[in-house]
Amino acid sequence: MEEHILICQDGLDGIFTAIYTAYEKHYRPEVTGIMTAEEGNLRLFAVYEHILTDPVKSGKVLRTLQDRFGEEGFYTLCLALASYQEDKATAVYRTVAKGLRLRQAAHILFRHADVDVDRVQKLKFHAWHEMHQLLGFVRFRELKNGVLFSEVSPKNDVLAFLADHFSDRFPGEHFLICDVGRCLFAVHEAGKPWFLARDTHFKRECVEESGDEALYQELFRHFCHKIAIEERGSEALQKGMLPLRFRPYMTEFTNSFQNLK
Amino acid sequence: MEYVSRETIGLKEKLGILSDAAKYDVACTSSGVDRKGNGKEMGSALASGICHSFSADGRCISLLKILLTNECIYDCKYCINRRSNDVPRAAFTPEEVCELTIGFYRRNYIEGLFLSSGIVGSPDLTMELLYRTLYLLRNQYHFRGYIHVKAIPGADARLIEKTGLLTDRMSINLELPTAEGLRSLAPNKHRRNILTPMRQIQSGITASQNEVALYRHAPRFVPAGQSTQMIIGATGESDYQILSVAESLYQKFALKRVFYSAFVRVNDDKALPAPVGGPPLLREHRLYQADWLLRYYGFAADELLNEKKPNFNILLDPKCDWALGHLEQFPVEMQTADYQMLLRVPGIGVKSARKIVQARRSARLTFSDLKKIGVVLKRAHFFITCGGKQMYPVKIDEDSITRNLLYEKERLPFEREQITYRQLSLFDDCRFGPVQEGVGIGWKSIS
Repeated sequence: MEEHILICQDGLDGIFTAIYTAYEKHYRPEVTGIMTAEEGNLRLFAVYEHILTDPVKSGKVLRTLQDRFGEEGFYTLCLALASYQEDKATAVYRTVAKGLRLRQAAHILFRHADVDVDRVQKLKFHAWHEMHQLLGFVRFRELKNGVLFSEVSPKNDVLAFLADHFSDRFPGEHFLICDVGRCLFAVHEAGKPWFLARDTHFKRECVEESGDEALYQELFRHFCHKIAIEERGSEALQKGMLPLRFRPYMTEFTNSFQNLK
Repeated sequence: MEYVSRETIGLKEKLGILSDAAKYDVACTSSGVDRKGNGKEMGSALASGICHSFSADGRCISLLKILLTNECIYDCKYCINRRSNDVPRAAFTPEEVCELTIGFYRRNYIEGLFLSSGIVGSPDLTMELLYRTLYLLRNQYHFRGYIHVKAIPGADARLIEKTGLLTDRMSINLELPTAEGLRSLAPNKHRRNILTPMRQIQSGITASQNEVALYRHAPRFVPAGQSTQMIIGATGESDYQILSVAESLYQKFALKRVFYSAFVRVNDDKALPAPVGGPPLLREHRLYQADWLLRYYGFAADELLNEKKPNFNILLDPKCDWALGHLEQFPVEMQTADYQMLLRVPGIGVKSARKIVQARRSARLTFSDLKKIGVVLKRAHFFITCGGKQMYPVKIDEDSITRNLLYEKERLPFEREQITYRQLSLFDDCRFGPVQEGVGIGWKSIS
């Protein structure tokens, strides 16, 4: 039996187009994989195909998934696709294929004994967990023009989820969240819907903080220092709850953002 | 009403003094209420709560936890802010609290405000100040984020009611588990004064829920429920007494949470114990474990402890301890056992029990499936069978299982490096004083 591997663009659109193509060509899900980057280790008996992203096809898949998996199921699939792991697209594709055979597609997500479903749930949990951590760990700085600016560097591509949360929370604020690793920006203008933008030439040196900013940063650092109970001190527990990789972007663990590379 | 704040000290010092004074309050949760933004005002709340940072003791920082003032007319022996202590005193004005909250919230430093206060003048005056602060924050600063406020025992019922309509969570500290303890360490506080407002808030919440069911936009009274806190280890109560108190608080007062706070000796007072080796953290940990068993696992306090065995086993967590005492109910067959029984198996938590129930509808579970689901097999395998078979052929026998469970060392959250069993016993179990240091601690002597 021939093994097919579809190579597509990363992101919902690309992967959904690949899923559409796999269905269109009647490939068998068990021996079909979807990759979002070139294979480093080519397989001898697999046929590789490059898929061009097609918004019409991906739109059809998106609607089908929303209809058949319901809001919660679709959310799970999206979070799993936000993962940074290479096998995410294949796992989601196979889960979708198995789910669509059922009368209630979302019920497939309860079959935890299934390898692909289990993988999707694990990917989803990891992405969700990082997203949830960042809901708290994002630190905004007020710039001279009143815009709130923040930088994050998540492993999973969770920027859209963050933007959704913060635009709901701060409807009257202009804010900008920058995913440093992906050069992605979530932009929100007061009273308007947010959007994502890519900018590879962003110069962080141009960022200038407002007059009050230094005071509030200092107040918060002082607060974090004072709120700890010395007798209970436990660095290990703190590290477990707040891993070091988040700290370069957090006010209370840096002296000043201007020194950041 | 004339209210004087100390203009002479800066905002930073004030924040330092008043957060330092508030840090012994445990509750820093921002959970229990789901409130989407309204598209205009700032703020929202998530039912799960969000931790915004973690301090050097590993505790979460979710709310701006401050006192309105640390001046206090009471003289509770365990409290750093008691009248007879010579500590720097400060007070915030309601406006300052609002400015700080908004400034921090906008930068996503915090999830909301936790406001408590020392007693200035009288309970009524203090409660009114708290109310005024919240009123300003909600109505003038249009803050929709999370607020947790203390209800002051002895304050007027109407003040508490008005405050409850502005806040998300309210709490009144029980302080000490028994009335005798309270009498000896907090001479100005009375059990009745604490329980009366607790009851008032409870009935307020029920009434408000009924109202909201009828009229969707009716104002919500304390929508995230009420909580309380007890100090552990300052007086001589047994774990059984403490847990029973917690259980009755959950059942009779419908509390959302009871917090346990390991006693930290901040004052040198002859009425206070001097715990060897720091605060009784293991005891606190065991109580939290048992607390979860009460709230999510369907256990009763009597099942875990009793008059004859009033304290927790220091070497085993309460669930393992219970299971070892009830081996006649094991092994449990994963394919058929009901949800309640699954929850009672050591190594299976709420999530994995739910997943097992979901997964076994469509498949016969194997041990490797259980591992994928998240069951901690190194603890669970003594107590379960899959398809009638055990994972390894082990005898269901108290001695051998205990030996094996102890061999797999439990991970404790506060554990420092190279802590030994003997150290644990020294500062934790009241029956193992320094006198018995030489006695070998077999588990038998404990359980």
